[in-house]
Amino acid sequence: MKIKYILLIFAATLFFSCNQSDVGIFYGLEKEVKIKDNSLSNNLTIGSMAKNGSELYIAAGRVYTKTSGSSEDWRKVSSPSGYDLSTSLAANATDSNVYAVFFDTDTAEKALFKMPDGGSWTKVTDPIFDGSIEFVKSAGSFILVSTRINSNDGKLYYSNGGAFTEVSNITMIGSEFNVIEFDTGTGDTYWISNHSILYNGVDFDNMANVLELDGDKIIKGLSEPSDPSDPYIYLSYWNRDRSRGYIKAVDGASINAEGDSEIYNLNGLTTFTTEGFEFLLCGTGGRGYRQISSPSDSRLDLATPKNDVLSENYTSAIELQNCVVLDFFVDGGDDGDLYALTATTGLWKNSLSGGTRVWSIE
Amino acid sequence: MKIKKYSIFIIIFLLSFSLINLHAQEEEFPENEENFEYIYGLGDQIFTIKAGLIFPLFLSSPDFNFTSTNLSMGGAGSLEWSTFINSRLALGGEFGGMFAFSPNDRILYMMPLTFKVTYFYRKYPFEFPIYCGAGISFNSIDDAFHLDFILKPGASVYWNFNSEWAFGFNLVYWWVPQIYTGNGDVPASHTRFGNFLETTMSALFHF
Repeated sequence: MKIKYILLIFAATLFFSCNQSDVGIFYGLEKEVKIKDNSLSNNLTIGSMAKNGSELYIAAGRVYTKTSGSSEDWRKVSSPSGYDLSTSLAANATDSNVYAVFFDTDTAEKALFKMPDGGSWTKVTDPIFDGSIEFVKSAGSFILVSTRINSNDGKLYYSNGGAFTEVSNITMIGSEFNVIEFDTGTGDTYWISNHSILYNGVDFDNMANVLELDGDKIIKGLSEPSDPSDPYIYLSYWNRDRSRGYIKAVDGASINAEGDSEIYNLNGLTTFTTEGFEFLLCGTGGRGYRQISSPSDSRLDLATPKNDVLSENYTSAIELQNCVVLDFFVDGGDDGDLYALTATTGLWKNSLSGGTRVWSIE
Repeated sequence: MKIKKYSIFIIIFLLSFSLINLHAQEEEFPENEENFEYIYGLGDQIFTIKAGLIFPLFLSSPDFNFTSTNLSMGGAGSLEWSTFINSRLALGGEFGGMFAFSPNDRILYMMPLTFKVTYFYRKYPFEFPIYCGAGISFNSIDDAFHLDFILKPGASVYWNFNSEWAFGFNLVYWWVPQIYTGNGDVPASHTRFGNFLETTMSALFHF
């Protein structure tokens, strides 16, 4: 009789599991392949990434560079005298400069610098920015810089290679922003998000408020559609009140579609096309990235990636699956190299290797 | 990373041998020792400590597809207590653990807790126990955890150093059916049967 009870206890254990992922332990081991690891440190936080000419740059505390498409190691770029760290940079095709925000750890002063390929850093002093310089991003032929005045207020400036001008009709809440350039067919070329508000306009002197979410909803990422003929953009936002993340498709007018909510924080967005398959990728706060294949305004539900055409070795990239992906960078357009910028888990690269696309860590 | 793995193996080996040496130093050799066969009976007990290596053999799916475990050779160890119910048969329990490395240096941990039946063949001064353990195994890698059934048939060779201590070598097969029903997040198609071979040295204490 006692043996019966023992057997019952054993049988009950067969169905007990606690998995963060949806992959069986032995099955995951069976499918695991060695992830290629290049020389860049794997515990870096990659604040931003840009391409200037043929050179790639990342801001990861220090600024690193390497030639696009090469197998060479990342090289440290000397910081400007008196400054130490950089977590934000962008490239401007108009003046072929890399712009980076540097931080002096002794004085806590921040400053904007620019550098041509192979050149040295020059401090940008025109104008004298109002507040502490925080982020620099690019859109088309423009560079945008945000500053923080206090915990609630900031300012946004733009430049096409010359002096910076304030984007006067955007009242910044804080200093975080996203910017993309995409024409939805109605002349809306530039899209800027700040806090819970989305703006668009044909130039930075004429930006209009086209979508205002509740104050508890923070826009985290913007992306153009994978099909350029689609007349809307995608955005990711985090609802602080409900602790839910969402993907939206909006055109600033009639299209305002939303996918199912996700229980994890959502970060930067990008679209990427490879082998004819379109993907919308969204970084998450602790679960790597999520994706939507063939996204559209009626297809906005994020899914967990599998070993698919985008990544044949996704189930082996365990650290990528469990990290914070802040944003993405696409080098080379369709079928090019896709980078995932992570917090404390380095720079991940998705590229063609041996006929299939695989993730490796730089 | 290889250095780290080898260091762990070396430490386990050194620990197991140092245990043997320690106990050997504590024992005094009786003068004019007689040759006789130790006989155990109801109520006699044994305690065993094991340490050594484990070799991941293969995985199989329910439809008999055999694949590599993708694991490195690992370390294993256990503690066992048993009591004799007659001169040749003992019942007891064993708690152990193993670890092995995946291609990306993730570490698989398996910690079996088994009920064990042992039958002893004897040819003084050697003993040849054969046994089978059945129980549960706490299996984890990274953040994933699964509780599985485990079957551990095996055999050992022991040399009786004296009436209390014996030292031996063990060969134990681990069969771990990792069953997913498909009711949770993991699909039923991820069901796999793990097969491992444990090779350990052990010290056995009769009391």
